[in-house]
Amino acid sequence: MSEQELKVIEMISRMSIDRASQVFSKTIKAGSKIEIVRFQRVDISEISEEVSKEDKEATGAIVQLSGEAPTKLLFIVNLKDALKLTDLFLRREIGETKAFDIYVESTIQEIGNILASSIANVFAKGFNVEMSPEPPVVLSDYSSSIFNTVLMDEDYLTDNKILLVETKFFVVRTAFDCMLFLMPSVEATKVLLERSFANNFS
Amino acid sequence: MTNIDLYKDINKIVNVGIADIKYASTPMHLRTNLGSCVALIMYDKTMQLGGMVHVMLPKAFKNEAKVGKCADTAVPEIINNMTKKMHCKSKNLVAKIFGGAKMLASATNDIGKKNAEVVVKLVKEHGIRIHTIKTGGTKGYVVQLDTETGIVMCRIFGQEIEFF
Amino acid sequence: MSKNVLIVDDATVVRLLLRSVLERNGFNVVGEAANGNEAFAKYKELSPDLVTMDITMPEASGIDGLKMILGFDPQAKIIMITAIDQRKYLLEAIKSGAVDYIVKPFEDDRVISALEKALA
Repeated sequence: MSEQELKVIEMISRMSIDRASQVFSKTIKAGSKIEIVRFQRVDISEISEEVSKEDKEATGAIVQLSGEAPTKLLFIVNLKDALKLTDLFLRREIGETKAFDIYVESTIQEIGNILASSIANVFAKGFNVEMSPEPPVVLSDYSSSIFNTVLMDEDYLTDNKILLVETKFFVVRTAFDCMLFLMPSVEATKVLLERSFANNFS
Repeated sequence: MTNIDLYKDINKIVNVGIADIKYASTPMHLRTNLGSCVALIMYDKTMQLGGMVHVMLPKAFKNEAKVGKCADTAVPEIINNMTKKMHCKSKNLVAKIFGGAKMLASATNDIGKKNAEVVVKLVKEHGIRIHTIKTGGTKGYVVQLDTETGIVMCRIFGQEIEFF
Repeated sequence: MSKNVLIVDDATVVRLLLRSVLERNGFNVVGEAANGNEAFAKYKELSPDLVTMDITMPEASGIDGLKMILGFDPQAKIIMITAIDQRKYLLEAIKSGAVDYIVKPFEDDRVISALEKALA
């Protein structure tokens, strides 16, 4: 992929993440911002090594966006903060949820679904790409084991590198340790580029 | 290119990423984190030297650039490097094998189980003694080799730490 | 008399949230289902006045559930409540007989007014 093409994919990703950011704020009824902190083709060995250094107990929703531009999304939250998110989602005072239970798991599942859908909506509307989310799979595990599970797909690798859109969340008055990773497949980047240029996006 | 440099910096844990092979000698620790991948750890107690490979798939595609990615290329690579380039004697080497979980309950293809089976089979074919096989389950593993003692710390998510 | 509603969503928390919003506003939640197949079975068993239906669900989607229920009872009132905000899905749902389409994350007022309108 050329530098110019990579720029186009980055712009599309930024638009979709901005939309996800608005939707996330509305979901938890709190001002928040999701910022892209890395947009890069990364080597699978290097990224998994990097992630394992920051290892923590986490819960993550893996969502497959199916259709013409297959893309994977991983929404991952430190276990303690997943409890806080559950309180916000259920419109309770933070601190009410004391332990990991089916409601926490379900909150992460639903936030993963809402974020993935909002991203698919941007791709579908803006670039005329058929795209919709599969039901999320929720895993509670080491963050790096969850991350590695997402990497295990040859359709997403070129020369053992994956295109990674890494984000961080900033929520007003509340510290949250959660991240969203977006990984377009090799096919997805091709289709998104074709549609972008077809729409005179350049 | 396989990195066969030895890590000797004190107070440093060497993390091993997916499809990577790394080697270290005392006092270093080799560490990795696994889901359906399998870690093959080789240790020579006379040299206090260890190697770890983080295997992602059982069988390599044509022209696979990363020798550590698939069991059929990774296992011969780590054994050959340790016996030929680092001069470990086969009889002094022991293998410890971890990981291979079924992370996605819905997956029809249990890649973790296949990874573990192929690694075990290939290690046996090379005549290396297997000390530990701790594989399977549905949760991730953290494993860490202390090259001074050869002891591997293993913690499966949600379980107590075990030593092998 | 309060109207009976069946809530269909694969996320437990969404069912919990919707139940609380509906009950606060005088609706009676008679049952819950987590996919299209369960929704159809519960619909036949409970004969609710209205169904709220998610789309992205395992086994059978909300669109499948909508079609099954309307095939069984063409008078059924079904409101889609989904995070998918795409023309293709909206058109398919409406053409298949859904009475309204609400995009998540939803506002309580929007849900209540849609239910009241559908049942009027």
